[in-house]
Amino acid sequence: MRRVIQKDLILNRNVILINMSVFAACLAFFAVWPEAFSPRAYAGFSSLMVSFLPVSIVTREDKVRAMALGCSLPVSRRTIVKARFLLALILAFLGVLGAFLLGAFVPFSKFEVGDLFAPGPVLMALAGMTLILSLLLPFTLRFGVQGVMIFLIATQVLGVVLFTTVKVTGSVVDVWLVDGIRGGIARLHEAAGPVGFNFLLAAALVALLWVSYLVSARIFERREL
Amino acid sequence: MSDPNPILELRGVGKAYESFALRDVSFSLPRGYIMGLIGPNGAGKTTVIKMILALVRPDAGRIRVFGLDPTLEGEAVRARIGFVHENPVFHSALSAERAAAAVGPFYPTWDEAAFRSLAKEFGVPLSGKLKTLSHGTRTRFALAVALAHNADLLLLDEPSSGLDPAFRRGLLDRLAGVIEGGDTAVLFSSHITSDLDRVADYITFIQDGVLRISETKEEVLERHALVKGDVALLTEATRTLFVGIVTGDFGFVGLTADVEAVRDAFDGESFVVDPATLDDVVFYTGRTGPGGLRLHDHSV
Repeated sequence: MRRVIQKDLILNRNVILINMSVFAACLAFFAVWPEAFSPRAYAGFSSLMVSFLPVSIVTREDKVRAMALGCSLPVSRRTIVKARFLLALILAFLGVLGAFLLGAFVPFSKFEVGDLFAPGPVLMALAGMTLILSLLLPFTLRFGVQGVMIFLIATQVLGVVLFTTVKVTGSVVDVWLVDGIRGGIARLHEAAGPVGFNFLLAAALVALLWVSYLVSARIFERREL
Repeated sequence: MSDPNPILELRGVGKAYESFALRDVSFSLPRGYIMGLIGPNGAGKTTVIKMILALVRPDAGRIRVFGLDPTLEGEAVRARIGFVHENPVFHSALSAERAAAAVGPFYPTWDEAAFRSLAKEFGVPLSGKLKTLSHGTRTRFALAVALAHNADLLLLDEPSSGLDPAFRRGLLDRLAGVIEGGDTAVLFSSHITSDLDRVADYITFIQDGVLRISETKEEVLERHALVKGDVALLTEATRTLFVGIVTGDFGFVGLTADVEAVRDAFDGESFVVDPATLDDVVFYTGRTGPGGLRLHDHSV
């Protein structure tokens, strides 16, 4: 697994450095822009940005058609997937950590250290990063760059269609849905307490990531190159 | 091919796609030999090589490499294989040196000094970005990587396309040297049959997903011959003696796999028998000419 990670880092070094620089510039801007984001929103946005970076490593490999080369090396497909997940988590985690440090220490930042390094923003970042990686990595490994594009476009189209349908029909299903989720989370928070809720959320995220890994390994093992 | 433990063995291998199917492919490659895999574009040569590397799963049959199933034990199998894909694709923004640094550590027997020596010998600039190199130079780089870890089996998919004749000749000499120890084997797909004429010990010919021939080069060349004569000699019965026939105003030229039968059938008539080359075998097998198609599967 170490060799796969090492290979991905060597092959994508420049892409990682360039993307990290762009992300840092964006995040620094949002950190000093007073009206931009709350700490939680900043955490969510930074996790969204940095999570696309490991996904781009896989899409890039697919784009330059180097996947057959990688799978011709003496390494199992399952190990490749495991390495991709581990590298994705490491990059996303370091990216979020970097974003928080940037947000806390960049000159003229509106955030204090305690604003970002608090349970709420940290959990928000972890949740955002896990959701994106868990949803996108299986798609990317199975369908490559086209799969990601189709997934993102389909998600947007579906959102627009649902929103339009709701507005045209005068339905309140969107309000009902959002209120339902919010109410469910509030009830869970009340029942489990802050510590229990955080524990449950963390467990749910780990479970989601594990299922995503199993699905990814299964479909990548069957992919023909 | 009587080696009880061939380095590579395919038995009844098949793979179906929407527009193409590889059917019942069987052959084996003993240690210490070079096999030329020939056939027209789209015949299934690359699919065979991809199945050996477990990039593609066969729908039928079984493949054994070093006695192992590459689908189940791919890691152990691929550790002993050196490969060159038809289009050697690496991340093109990398230098050859960094690309090798990414790939080399996967092989327990990787020899960095050998790689550098091969790259120098093959004229691959280590600091040059792969995207700035020609197709031929990228292939040379892939060959240097494939040869730098003392593989037991070399799988080369059209390695000579894009290479200049002088380098091709040097490569063939090197491949001949690689198998000298008797432990290594080479499966070498190529359109350039003259390359195989020079180095191949065995010939496997696939056409439209069907295995036409898999035997020693000497057997292929001894068994096949070109017959030239007047079209009037071609009857329903005599046509069956040919693997492929091309007819024209000049008469006919046919490839036969049974020269004696042709001699018997045309006894007393005017015709010429010439030795066939591998190029002739590929060209005439299943050839459609104005006089019609003669295509006969023959068992191997």
